Amino acid sequence: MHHGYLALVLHAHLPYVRHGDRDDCLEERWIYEAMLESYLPILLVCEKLLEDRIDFRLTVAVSPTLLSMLEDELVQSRFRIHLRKTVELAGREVRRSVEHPKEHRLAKMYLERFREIVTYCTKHQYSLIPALKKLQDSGCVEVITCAATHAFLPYVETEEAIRAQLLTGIETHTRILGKRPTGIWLPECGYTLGLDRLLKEAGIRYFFVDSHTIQHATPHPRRGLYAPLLTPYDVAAFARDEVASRQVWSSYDGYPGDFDYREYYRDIGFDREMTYIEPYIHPAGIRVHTGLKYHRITGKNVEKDWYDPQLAREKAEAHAQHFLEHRERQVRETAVWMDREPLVVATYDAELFGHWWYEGPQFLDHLLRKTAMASDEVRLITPAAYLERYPENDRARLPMSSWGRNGYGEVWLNERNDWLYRHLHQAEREMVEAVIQVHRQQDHGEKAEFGVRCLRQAARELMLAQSSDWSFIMDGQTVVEYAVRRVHDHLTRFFELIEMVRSDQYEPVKIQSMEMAYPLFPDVRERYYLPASMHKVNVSQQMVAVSQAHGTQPRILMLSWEFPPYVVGGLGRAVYDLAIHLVRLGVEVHVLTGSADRVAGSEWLEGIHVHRVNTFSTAEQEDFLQWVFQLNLAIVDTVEQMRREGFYPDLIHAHDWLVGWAAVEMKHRWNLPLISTIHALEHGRHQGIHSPLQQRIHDCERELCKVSDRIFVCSQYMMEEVKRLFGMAEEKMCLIYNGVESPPDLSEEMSRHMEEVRRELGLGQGPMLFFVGRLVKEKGVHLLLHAVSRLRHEHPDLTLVIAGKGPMREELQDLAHRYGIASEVRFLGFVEDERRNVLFRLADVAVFPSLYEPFGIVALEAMSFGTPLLAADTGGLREIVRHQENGVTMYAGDVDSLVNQLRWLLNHPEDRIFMSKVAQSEVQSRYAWTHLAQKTVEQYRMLLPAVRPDEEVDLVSSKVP
Amino acid sequence: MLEKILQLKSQSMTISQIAEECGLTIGQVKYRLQKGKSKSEQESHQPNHQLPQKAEPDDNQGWRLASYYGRDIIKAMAQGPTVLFVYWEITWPRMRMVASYLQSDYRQIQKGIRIYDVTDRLFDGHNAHWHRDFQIQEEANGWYVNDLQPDRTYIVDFGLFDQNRFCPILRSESVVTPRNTRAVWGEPLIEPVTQTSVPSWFENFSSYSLYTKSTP
Repeated sequence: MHHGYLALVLHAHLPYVRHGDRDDCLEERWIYEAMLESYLPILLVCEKLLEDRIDFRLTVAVSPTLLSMLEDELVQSRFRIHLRKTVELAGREVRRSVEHPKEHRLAKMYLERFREIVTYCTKHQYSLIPALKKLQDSGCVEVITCAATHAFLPYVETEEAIRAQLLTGIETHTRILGKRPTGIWLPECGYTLGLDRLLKEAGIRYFFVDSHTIQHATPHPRRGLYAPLLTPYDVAAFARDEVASRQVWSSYDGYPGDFDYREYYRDIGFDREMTYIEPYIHPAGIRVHTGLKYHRITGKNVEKDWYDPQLAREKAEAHAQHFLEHRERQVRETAVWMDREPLVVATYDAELFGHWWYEGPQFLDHLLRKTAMASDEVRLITPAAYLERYPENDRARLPMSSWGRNGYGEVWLNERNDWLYRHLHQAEREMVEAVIQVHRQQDHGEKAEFGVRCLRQAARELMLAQSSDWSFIMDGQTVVEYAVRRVHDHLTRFFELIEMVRSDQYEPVKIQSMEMAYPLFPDVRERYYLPASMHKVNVSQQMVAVSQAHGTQPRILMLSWEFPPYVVGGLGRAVYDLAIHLVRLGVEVHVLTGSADRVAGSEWLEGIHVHRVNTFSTAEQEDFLQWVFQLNLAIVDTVEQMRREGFYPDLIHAHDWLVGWAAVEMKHRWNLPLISTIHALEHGRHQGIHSPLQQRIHDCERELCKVSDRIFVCSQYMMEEVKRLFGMAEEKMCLIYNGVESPPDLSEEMSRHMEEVRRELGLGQGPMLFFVGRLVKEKGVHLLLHAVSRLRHEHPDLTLVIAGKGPMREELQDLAHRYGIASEVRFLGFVEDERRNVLFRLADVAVFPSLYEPFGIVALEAMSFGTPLLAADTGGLREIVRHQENGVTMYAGDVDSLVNQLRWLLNHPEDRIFMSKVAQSEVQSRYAWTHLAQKTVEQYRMLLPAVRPDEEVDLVSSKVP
Repeated sequence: MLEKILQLKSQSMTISQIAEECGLTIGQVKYRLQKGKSKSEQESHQPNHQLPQKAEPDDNQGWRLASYYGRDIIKAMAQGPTVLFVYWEITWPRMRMVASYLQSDYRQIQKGIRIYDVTDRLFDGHNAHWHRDFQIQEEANGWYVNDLQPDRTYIVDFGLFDQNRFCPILRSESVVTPRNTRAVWGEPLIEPVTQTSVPSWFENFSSYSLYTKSTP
């Protein structure tokens, strides 16, 4: 009775060892030995089965490098020579051994065998491809593919390079065998998280993993190893069966170690005297395996006995029977508990059969015959057919794994080969970057053609360097020198090619010689390395648009530690407004800022390119200075990456010391002009330098000023401060005010909103005082609380609204309690722009009693809303507010003065409204952003090298609609 | 010539600027610097070289692969369920920035790596399950981290010890060690994913990301 299935899978792979320039490369013999001893014998077995009309099933994975060598005419013609010499040697052996019947019989066996193969090869013109196709078309053999050069995929760094390995493999397979593969043999069964997504994307339906990969899947699979498991992306993973593997593989108790089988290591290439064997070994006299071996394994540490073909043949048949019986028992026992017919997957290296295990092809022949003809319990099947029979399967996540020593990556990553990866990964990244670069160039001339040729050859070199064979050899310490040389040479050529692309300087002769040295994958496409996001038209269009626009308009890097929506003080706002107005003048502005709570990345915000960068920890968690430094590192890294992708800024505009390290570093690194706007100084914030941290910041500010080509300040006061503290020359400085946007006219909806806020905050009919800003000492809020407490008897219906957050919030709230005015004061914390604007409109007086204020943008904002203003006569405020003209001023830090001025304002509503109208019209003329942005662009232009005169007009006056 | 190159380098000049100044190609400058570096390494004996001996080929004739690529990187790779391999390159400009921040000679600063277990966490620098530090020799560029847990997610920082505080200057992407035991009972079933253009969850390789991602 039929219980289950057996899928036999052979994996055939050799690294690309064709050496066109010389015919004496020892490693190139691998392909000829494998063809003669494994591939041809297996093909012959299969053809004989077809001839005998046996309905067998076999799955064969042929790696794309092997396929490429099999179709290569040079390899074919060299194989012809190899075969001819082997036949000749066998002939000599026959004559030589006439006197020794046992040897003679064996020599004749080889001669007959080799002649049979010659006949077969002559029939097929030495190409194995048509024979493979014929098997494929018979429906008995399913041929599947492998990664292009057999790279160990878990250690490939980028998705793009994995995709290139997969797609190049599939395309090569399809071109040579005329049929698209549905399954893949993952090199070394190497799987890693996410690989299934790329397999799915490439149209692959199934792959193979080692048994522990399935056993350790999550969730635990119900059918164990006897059914495929789907990955999250619905690609099927087949587990190779442990017992079936061990029976054939094991060096301890596997079949190939049987004493009756032929001994691999006794070869006449090593046994015969030099004069006799010389023509058949390496020209330099290095002895090699000739394939003629006369002994059987015999036993351990005993004299080797003569090989007996008859005995060995019987053993192969017996082993096939034994193997089959085990599979029968396996499926019988499994079928009892499973809800369907179980599948046993037995996978082996094809080279084991014939080359290492001489009787392997006979074993295969017997096994396939017996199973197809005589077993009523086990049927042969291909994995593809099993999936058709049972399309529904459990789904699970598979762990990273391989079939190598200990089941993971240690064969391909250890002290002997780990040095490879920094080079390979770098090459991958450079490949992707170069492909992006060429992809962006719009020209199609001769140079572009060379560019594409270079990239394609670079792709071949990179993939060849990625072959897992090299790290495998280094691990096994066999032909290490050859492996190291191969990786080195491929990567060296790769970097040369990339350099040609990057510099746009091509050496046609060199390119051609590289193409001729490694003529595989003729149809390789450099586009495989293009990031998936680049395929989306809109993204690249935007970038192309940006690149094309460049050349006429300056590209500015604007560095600011804060930027909307993350705004603490006036700085973020000022940078945002400036950026917007620069963009309107046609300047390309890239703002680099911290990501705060937002996701790092880039966005387009009203024409501004905003790049939010991540720090290693958030500002609250770290000591502030370290956090600032990390922000600076991240900014530089982001710009470095932008430059790699072909975006070159013209000028850096830094805002305050917090971005100083990045600004100074980038100026040095790329020799860019640097403008710094000094919004405030540590010295002013603390009325002096009192602590080591303040000294540190003070030094940073000095350094930034020193290195900058130009320093912008926003008030005459700041100009004097910078000159005084850092000894800066006035010629290097430029006064550009901060501006304000004119608010829209009052609409009905806004009035309604204002009433809502008024109710919500419980504001009565009495006068409302408003303060907005950070709650730090220098803003003088404590003075304001004191003043209100003194005025409350005269104005019992007075309320004070305080918007903003800061370290002094709790202290100020306590203070309000102690003054007994807690019920008159509203602490709102941080408020959004919209709400803030409403509060400006509601306020009867906006009060800014700062001790230190480098500019005082809030004063301008109050003025723009027509809110009567009271400000301290300090810093920039002094330049904005003229007493009794557009507002009133108080002596900084003087409570009495504050009380007096407040009292006057509260008692003279008409005067205060008159002054606020004066202020409003003044703001619109003097502090308009359009005007200030134009002034900024003029400054930029003075620092930008070689702007063509005809473009100057564009820079300053043209406006983008 | 090496003296001159080192002198220019100490003046914060880039390799290309140095090359121009000395009338050499960029490759020649790098080669001389590498030679100079390996020479000084030989001279200053490091008895406690903690790195395992490499099978990396010697500086033999005709060796043309760069020792440095001028790209700041730290990369963690899972060798198996309990071992990660980490390699890194810190570029001179970055060292220069760090030196300026710490106000000392970069070479005198104790370097180290810190490994974080960030399994199921949106890592913000401080919410790892645990972290472990390793001090690193000046010339080391790789490290095996042993005795880790299978089926956990890790991130590795390269950083500096400044007054006994760790100051990270480069962070790896996360990497998952493979599970090597049966899944426990009760793990949720997995729903199929049809969209292949973006990863639906964690992957052990990175995708090359373009800095312009969104469109207006």
